[in-house]
Amino acid sequence: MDERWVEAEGIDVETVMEEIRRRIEEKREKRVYTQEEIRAIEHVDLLPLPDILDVPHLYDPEEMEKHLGTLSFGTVRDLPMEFPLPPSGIKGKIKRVLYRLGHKLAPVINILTLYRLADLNFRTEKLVYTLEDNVRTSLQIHTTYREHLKIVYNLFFHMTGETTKLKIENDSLRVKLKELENRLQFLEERERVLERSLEKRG
Amino acid sequence: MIVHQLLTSLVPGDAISNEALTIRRILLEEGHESRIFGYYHHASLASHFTHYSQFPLYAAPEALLLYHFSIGSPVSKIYFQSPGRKGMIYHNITPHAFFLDYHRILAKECYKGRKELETFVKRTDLALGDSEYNRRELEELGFPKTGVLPIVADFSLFDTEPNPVTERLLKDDKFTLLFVGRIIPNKKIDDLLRLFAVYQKYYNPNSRLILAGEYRGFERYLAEIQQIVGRYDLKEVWIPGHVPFDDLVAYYRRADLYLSLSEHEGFGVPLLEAFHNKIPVIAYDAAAVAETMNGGGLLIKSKDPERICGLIEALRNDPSLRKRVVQGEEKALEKYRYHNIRSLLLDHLERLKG
Repeated sequence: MDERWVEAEGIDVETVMEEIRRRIEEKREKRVYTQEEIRAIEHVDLLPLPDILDVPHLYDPEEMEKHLGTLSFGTVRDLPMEFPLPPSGIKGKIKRVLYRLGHKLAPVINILTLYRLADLNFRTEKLVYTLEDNVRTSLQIHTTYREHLKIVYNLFFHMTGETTKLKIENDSLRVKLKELENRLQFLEERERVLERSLEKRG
Repeated sequence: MIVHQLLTSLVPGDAISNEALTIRRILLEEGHESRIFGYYHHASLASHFTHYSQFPLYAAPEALLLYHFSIGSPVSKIYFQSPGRKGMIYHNITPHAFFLDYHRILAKECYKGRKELETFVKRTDLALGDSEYNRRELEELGFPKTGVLPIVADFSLFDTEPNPVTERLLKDDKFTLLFVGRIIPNKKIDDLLRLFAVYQKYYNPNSRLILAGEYRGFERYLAEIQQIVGRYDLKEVWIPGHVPFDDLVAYYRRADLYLSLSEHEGFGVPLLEAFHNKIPVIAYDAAAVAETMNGGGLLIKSKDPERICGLIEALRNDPSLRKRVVQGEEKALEKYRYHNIRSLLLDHLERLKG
């Protein structure tokens, strides 16, 4: 045991330490407690009460947008950035010859397929209109859904905040009540002492 | 000589207020002119107090000004405007880290306070710390002229009648451990309760712990420490809050031992109050505690509960050891006697005058 653990001028510290040792040994021999019990009390953790300042008071739209952004509505798949290279060898040579030939014959092919293209164009336009219509309707539904989500988010945000605040308020009121109980008990004891002394005088 | 003092508040029971009142008394006895300027005061001390807005009426180049530095005070601007020589008494600022989990506003104020102190360096002619520990802090900040002026406390105030009801309440065979000070994290009240849990459970069930001090503003810390009381079903733990002076006198009269496990004390007036009331003191060696105890009492180097309980038991069962400790405390208290502090104060004022 460290002899310098206790310091006092004009006191034989060694004798005091011997006395402390003797008392500790006595307790240990009688098995009054175990080392584990002492360490458990020594290191008992305090459970902190939450602070009301931790609860945000104001609804933060930016924070909400961030939260909504994390909700998955599907993501646009990236287009492949690398195109396949033309095959090499005889197959590649034939393909390149056909490509050059096709390139040269392109005006003739265009004139021949003009009628089919006009028809295709007409059909594509119709398809685009229908698709646009569908997208517009989906977008409208989506916007409405998103607005509803904002309102629900807002509502939950405030409800969570208010419930947390109420819980903290409840905890601190409980502490205050406990304090008042202690004080009342103390005052009652004082009252009894006063009563007893008055009785004696009477 | 004209010496005015500047502080934030003048209230009864506050160590800084008591010091300001004692300094004023010394100065008036010496035939000097002296006033206490501040921001607010308790009605009972109105005759000693002048509002700081009236300071310009009394300011003069030959007047010395002593500022009891405290955090976030509106009176600082008066200090900077004063035309005379300026001195500061620094009572230390608790490191903000102690308050982070319990009182964020106070933690911020403490942090700002230390920053604010730096602005006083070039405008202060003499900076006094109430302990060598505080003086060293001032020196490290760059104050050119520093000194030590221990808290000028008038211990004779304790030689009055205690509250008879409180005294009667404590008149039993219970071994009473006392701690006086605010119920705040740096005072390590939780460690005191942990220790008391070991002591009451395994060493002396017939014991009591009194924690006399203000807890308002630290209800969350109070709730935490009450968990220990509840968990170990501790009996006779008194937390009376801020107590009237006659109650405090009764606590000191009836206490068998003063125990402090505080980890930050800029000075530690209650240690000396316990010395004056002839109570053996066991205190953990942190910050200015060892210096304040001046060789008196028992200074411990770690918070091992077994050893502390053994030491308490040794003091409880060995009257001769108790007597020797109290004698040592009486000797240590000499340094802080009124006449000694009085001459030290007058010396410092001469230094300030230049």
